[in-house]
Amino acid sequence: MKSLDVRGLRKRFGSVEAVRGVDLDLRPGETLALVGESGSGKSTIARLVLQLITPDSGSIELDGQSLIGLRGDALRAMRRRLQMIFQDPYGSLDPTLSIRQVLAEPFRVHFRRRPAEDELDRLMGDVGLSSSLLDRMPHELSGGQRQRVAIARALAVQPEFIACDEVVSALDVSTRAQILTLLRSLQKTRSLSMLFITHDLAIVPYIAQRVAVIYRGEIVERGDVDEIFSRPQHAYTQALLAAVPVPDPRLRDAA
Amino acid sequence: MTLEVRDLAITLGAVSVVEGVSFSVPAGRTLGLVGESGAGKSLTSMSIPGLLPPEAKARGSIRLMGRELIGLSNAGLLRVRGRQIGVVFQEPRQSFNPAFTVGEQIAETLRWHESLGRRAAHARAVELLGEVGIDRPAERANGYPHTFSGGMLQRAMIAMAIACRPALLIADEPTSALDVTVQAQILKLLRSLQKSLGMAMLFVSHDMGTVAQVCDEVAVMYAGQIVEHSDALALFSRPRHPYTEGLLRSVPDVRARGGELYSIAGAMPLPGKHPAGCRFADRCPYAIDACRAAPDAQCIRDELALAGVLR
Repeated sequence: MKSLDVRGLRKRFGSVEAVRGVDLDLRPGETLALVGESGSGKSTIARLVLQLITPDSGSIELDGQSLIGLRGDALRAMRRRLQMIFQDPYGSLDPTLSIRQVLAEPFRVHFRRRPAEDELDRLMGDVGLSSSLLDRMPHELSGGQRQRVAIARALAVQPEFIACDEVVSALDVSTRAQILTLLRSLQKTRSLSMLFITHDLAIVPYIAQRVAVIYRGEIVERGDVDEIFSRPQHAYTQALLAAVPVPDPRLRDAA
Repeated sequence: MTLEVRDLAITLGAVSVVEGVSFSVPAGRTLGLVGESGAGKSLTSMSIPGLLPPEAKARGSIRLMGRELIGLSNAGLLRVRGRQIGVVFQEPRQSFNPAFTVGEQIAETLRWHESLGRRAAHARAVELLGEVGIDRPAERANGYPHTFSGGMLQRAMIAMAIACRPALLIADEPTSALDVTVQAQILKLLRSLQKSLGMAMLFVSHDMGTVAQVCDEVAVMYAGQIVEHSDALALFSRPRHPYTEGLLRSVPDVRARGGELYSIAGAMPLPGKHPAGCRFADRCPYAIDACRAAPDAQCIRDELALAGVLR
């Protein structure tokens, strides 16, 4: 079991300070939701953690080992342990590769071999897809199926940690529910640690145990989901929660 | 009746995408048209102002203030659009021309439809921007779209949509691209304008949360048909169609504490691949053989229950 520890993370783009001294700790086997609105810096944090971009300062450690500045084989080994899933599965799946080729890629990069047929079958099964889709192209799949493929690709290398960046934001209601349920069960059965980045507060109680609320590059409040959502202390968290439309017409605020 | 749609059918080439859709919206009321992508809600709403893609064809009847819109010439539709029907889209940035100021574009609508002079149209555009809650409207009217935030530009889009005091306002996913705090403000604005101007509003959305906050009535679309249409309070508290029931149970609620989110297994059948009988039958937990022979979009659950076939 591994834990991820982020301290004093900062990142500036030109004159904009996107991340301003963020601390996060992700305990083994738990899901931490990072919630905020557009421009809050939440996606930048995921990219920093995965070393897709380099922080200006601060530390990121996985089980006490620093991830910053890793190169070559060490970077590749770290990337195997930390996987990421993005919002737009169409944009993140190469449209010229079949699903079989998409899933073979992580085996080639990290294990320098081709996956066996039963490995592919198992992966597809784990994400609720039929193996008959292996020879399809991404555009032949629905948005939900594509997101399942993206999850399968992330799981292929047996990661310990997965960062999910708005992974259900582009999906329809019933597909979103299916993908959330899938992620939750995978997280449990594989004891994954998950950083779940979202602007949608309503889904947080279904996926995460802890939550951190980010506003303009800083964490303004953090704690257990039940606690924060029941008794938000920070004015921004209160405003965010109050703005979420509740699916009950009886609770319409008088305009 | 402001808007009356009867037996609307839309085909894309040879494929039927919307079938047998009927609903009406009186002045001062808001009808929510909800469904998931591919259900046909946007095609249905866009057929009203005649904004279907060229390969799509609408049949049936769409009456606005008693006047038939299907079969109307482009020139006729141009006069109806903007003047009697205002439309608010999801992405205001795609609706504004980046090369002209926001004020110029609203004034253009007024000059075209209301034959206002240049100066009068500009003055009215400034008033409208104020009406939708934009600060310092006289100054903002001279700003270009890129200087507006997403929420402000959506307000400007609404100002343009209501400029000619339309009888019908169509809002197609108007807040889906906005942050939650901005979304709440825009919903409030739409609701208050709809009431104060007495417009009929068609609110198209996939988001049951926003629908609950805005609509008086709700029509649920599935695979090209309306499967349930009722008063919003009744629909949310006692859904009759199993799809509506499943959809509502799939909607995350921020008040939930732990627990799992229900999900409907499977996926909506694609246009051209609709099964015979009830189109939801393959995903329905209550389905029996008779459902696959049921003739239209109405669920036969009530009849079956009455006949003692089902609980």
